Amino acid sequence: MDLQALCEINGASGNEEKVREWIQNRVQGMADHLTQDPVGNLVATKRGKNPAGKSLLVMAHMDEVGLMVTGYEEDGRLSVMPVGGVDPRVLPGKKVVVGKDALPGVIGYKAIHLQREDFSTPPKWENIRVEMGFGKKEDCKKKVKIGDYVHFYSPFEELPRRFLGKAFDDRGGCALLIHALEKMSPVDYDVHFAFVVQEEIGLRGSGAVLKQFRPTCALIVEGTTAGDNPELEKARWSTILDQGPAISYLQGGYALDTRLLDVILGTAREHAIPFQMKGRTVGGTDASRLARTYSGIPGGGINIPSRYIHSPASVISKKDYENTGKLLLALVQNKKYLDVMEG
Amino acid sequence: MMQTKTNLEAKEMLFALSQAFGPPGREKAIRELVRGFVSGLCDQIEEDASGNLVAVKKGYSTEKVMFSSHMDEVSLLVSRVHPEGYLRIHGIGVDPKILPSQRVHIHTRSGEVLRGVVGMLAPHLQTAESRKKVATFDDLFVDVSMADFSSVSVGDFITFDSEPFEMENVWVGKTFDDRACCVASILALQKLQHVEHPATVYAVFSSREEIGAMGAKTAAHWIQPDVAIALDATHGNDFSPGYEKIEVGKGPAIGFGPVLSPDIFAQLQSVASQNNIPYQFEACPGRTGTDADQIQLEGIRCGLISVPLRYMHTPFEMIQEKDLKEAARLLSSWVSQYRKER
Repeated sequence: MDLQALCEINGASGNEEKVREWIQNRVQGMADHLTQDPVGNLVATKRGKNPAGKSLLVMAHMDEVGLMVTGYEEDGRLSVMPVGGVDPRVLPGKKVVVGKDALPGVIGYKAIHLQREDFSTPPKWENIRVEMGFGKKEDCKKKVKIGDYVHFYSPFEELPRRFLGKAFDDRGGCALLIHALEKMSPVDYDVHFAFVVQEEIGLRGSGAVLKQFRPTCALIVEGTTAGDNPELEKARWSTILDQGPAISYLQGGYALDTRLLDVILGTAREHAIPFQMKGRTVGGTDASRLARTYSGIPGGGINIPSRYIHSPASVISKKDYENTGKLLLALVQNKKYLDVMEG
Repeated sequence: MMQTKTNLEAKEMLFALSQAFGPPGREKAIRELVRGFVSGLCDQIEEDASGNLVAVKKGYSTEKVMFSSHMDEVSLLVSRVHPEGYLRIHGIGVDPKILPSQRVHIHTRSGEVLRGVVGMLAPHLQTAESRKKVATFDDLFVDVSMADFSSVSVGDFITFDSEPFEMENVWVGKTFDDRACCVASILALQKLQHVEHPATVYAVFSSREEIGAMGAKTAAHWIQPDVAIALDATHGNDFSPGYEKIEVGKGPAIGFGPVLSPDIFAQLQSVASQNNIPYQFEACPGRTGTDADQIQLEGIRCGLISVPLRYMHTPFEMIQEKDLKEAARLLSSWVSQYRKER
């Protein structure tokens, strides 16, 4: 299963190599043209029958959040800092893998019996340590380098209603892009399927990818926050699992062009695909970067609602995943999505 | 003479025990595993109403010594089932701070094991205020929406979904507190196959230590040993404020304090020195937080051997094999020399 394979690959921002290689092998033969740019973005292009200078950019990011080794402790443990948005409170008591050889480690935490005032203070980066059993700094230095990536150890599980694992944000998007590329019928315009790097540390790959071409408009496929947690009042929920792909209209740094929004909603209705409007405007996507590139590339966003994203144990709905895929395929083949931007 | 069964390796036994389900009062699976490990190493295996398993190995005198290592594990308990697909929980010895984004197993009464995840709000939806908050059992929940959860009921136990593994120099996994000591006890029985020992050994694998050590108390009551040794995990490497640091890899710790017998303390110390067993001291000024506390209440002199362990009560408790093996050697050497003072 593509989603499982993609999620289990380790690829925090700047370390997307293995994800890229996997996708490259997978899409071999599906696209008319495959390029990799200097920052590491991979673009698979399906040529149009009659492009006339028009193209659609469909985008998902390959990177995930993770950690990086930033220091050695005297007792042989490692200090780490986040790559992307990681809440240190999700780390204690979890297994991780360190460096290129994926050596196992655990994020231990001081036993409850030994805590005093710290019982009621949240874990902070200053007291998050990766234990690998070295015992001595010198031994640790032989096997681990400062700057090594640390990833969550989180096997993918398919359960009756959900997928459970890490990195659905945004390997879910990557998997759906591959499926759309595989299944799409030929269209007039070029379609660039871009698998970009470094979204999690500030939408960086998406800026560079536009050096290659200038699309008419773009469509971003993301994993987005659910937040349908019981401790949060309903008014603050972002999306709700099982209610279909979440459509963004306003987000950090970007307000969606109403014309595009109307086509997205119309397409969903036409194909009887359930959808929900994203209930919060928090979080940014590559659409914000595209809006700032050239004279602004308009981009829409469809999202897979994900619980507990940016943590080692995220949960998505199988139905939502399928429906996001359906909506993506319908949009890629819907000429109106490009045409509305002409008028 | 009893059959000499293949001596199982410490790692094999510990990793199997670590994976098995055994919260306080629900130690059946552990008992069955231990039964398999000790059969062939003892003359008799007994079980009592408290859920203790006792392996009896006869000596040639009338003296009786008891070992006690507990089988139960820290866990969570379902306190409420919400129809939306989540559970409210209570902790038994668990720090709520290690729970967010933890994968767990929910063990239903019908014996099903369901998947769950302890939910956590994504950083995007946190506020400056909520970021400062510490997880408590009042707001933690277990997401069970992955599958049909109609079989879950209040009172079901939840355990960590964590597999033990080996790293550089150490082993990590859940429930090494106190199943590492169960293994030390079994290793001691293995060693005693080749040694004449005067006293009859009652190796107790006790129940319900994590909720007050009542298993050890009832076992001590019916066995009425002359002396006992409790075996438990103690905090290694992490600094316990005001105490000398005990280190993982520097040998078992021998406990000293009012609950513990100074005679047994002295015996353990001298046995360790005679046999070149590295050891550390553990001062226990009050209760020890082990089976020893309850054994003493039965009027029985008790000693304490501890295996240093880091990250206690988390899904990845860390020990060194060496400490476990030296604890077993200390225990078997002490037994083989033990004579009641007359």
